[in-house]
Amino acid sequence: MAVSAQDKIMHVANKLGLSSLKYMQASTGAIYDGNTTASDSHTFFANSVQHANPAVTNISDNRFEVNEALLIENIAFYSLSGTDGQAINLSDIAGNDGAVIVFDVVIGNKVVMKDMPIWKIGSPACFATGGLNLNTAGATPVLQQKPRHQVYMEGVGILIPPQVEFQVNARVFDAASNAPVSIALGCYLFGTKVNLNFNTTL
Amino acid sequence: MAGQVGKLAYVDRKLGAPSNGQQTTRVLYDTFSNVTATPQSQIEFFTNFQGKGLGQTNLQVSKLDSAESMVIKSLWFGGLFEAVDPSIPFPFNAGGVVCDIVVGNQTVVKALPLHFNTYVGESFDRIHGSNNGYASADASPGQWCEVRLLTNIVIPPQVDFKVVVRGANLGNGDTGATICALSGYGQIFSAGTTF
Repeated sequence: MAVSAQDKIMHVANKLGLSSLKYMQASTGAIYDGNTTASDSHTFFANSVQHANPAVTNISDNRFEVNEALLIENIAFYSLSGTDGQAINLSDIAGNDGAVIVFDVVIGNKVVMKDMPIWKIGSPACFATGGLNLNTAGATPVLQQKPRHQVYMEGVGILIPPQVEFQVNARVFDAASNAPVSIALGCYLFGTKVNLNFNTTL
Repeated sequence: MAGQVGKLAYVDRKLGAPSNGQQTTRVLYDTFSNVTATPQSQIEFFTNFQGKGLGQTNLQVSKLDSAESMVIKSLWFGGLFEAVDPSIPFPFNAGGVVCDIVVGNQTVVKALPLHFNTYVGESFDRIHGSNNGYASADASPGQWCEVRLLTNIVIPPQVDFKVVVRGANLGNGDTGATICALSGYGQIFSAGTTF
């Protein structure tokens, strides 16, 4: 029988001695961070305190509070339009059609995902269509299918425990020439969340 | 993971709430009428029912009846805008838009981003898009966004709840409305043999 998200969270919590995590609020959550400045090298979440909230990020520290955690089940990349940080599909940025993002996920001092690729033209592990979307690149409302730029975790996922620093490092290349490619880039991590719940402790 | 029926029964039992109601599928909804020329930075749903009819909400207070409870499985948001740029759908935002769900005095969903399930095309759900755009013949768009929750969130009987959406330029200061619907499994009052 497959291990559930809750089983994985409890297993890691027990290993880390987090005895009170099981009393917290189970939820669904996502965290995101982006860089509105184009670059060929990005670090997400480590500098989120310097970014507008909730326009560009929804966290102020790259560590969760006491008794909060996130089981990463889906990682996605997107681009940002303008300085307000409006998220757009990577297919909606002009040029750089051969771009490939190569990223690592780091939790504590451990690399938990290594050299993962996501191409601008799409990525593996996304069988299903994202449905019809309005094309934000054009002036007229054209419906189109857009590629996804996501990694759905095999198995259950990877847990970011409470109070442990995490970050995502990404570099962008041209797949044909291996030359660096500068684009504005954002990243989100989505999955089963544990929220702090005081219960009867106050 | 406990199923929705088991989770609802578990929470109701913990709270001493009745659990012999009619089990059913339920959707709670509330509507915010956009204010012309006043874009919102925050919209609260299920807190203000003054002057609203059934077309705008199916509740009259921000809590369920004493014999009713519900498991939220899915969050749905819709926007009806007129004469705005249809290339930028719900929630016509500038930057990110996040959502909180508060039940009682506890935040059960915290800063959950919504905008990835709209025009961005990077929806949370692997199987479902949940990020569709619709452009009508007169170019007045109706847009929606749905997020399927990974965990069952219970709204017990007689406990206040609300949904708060935060971001910039919500509603675009335009005419029309912004809608929030909580979809899921619930129990409604059933007289049965108790009368």
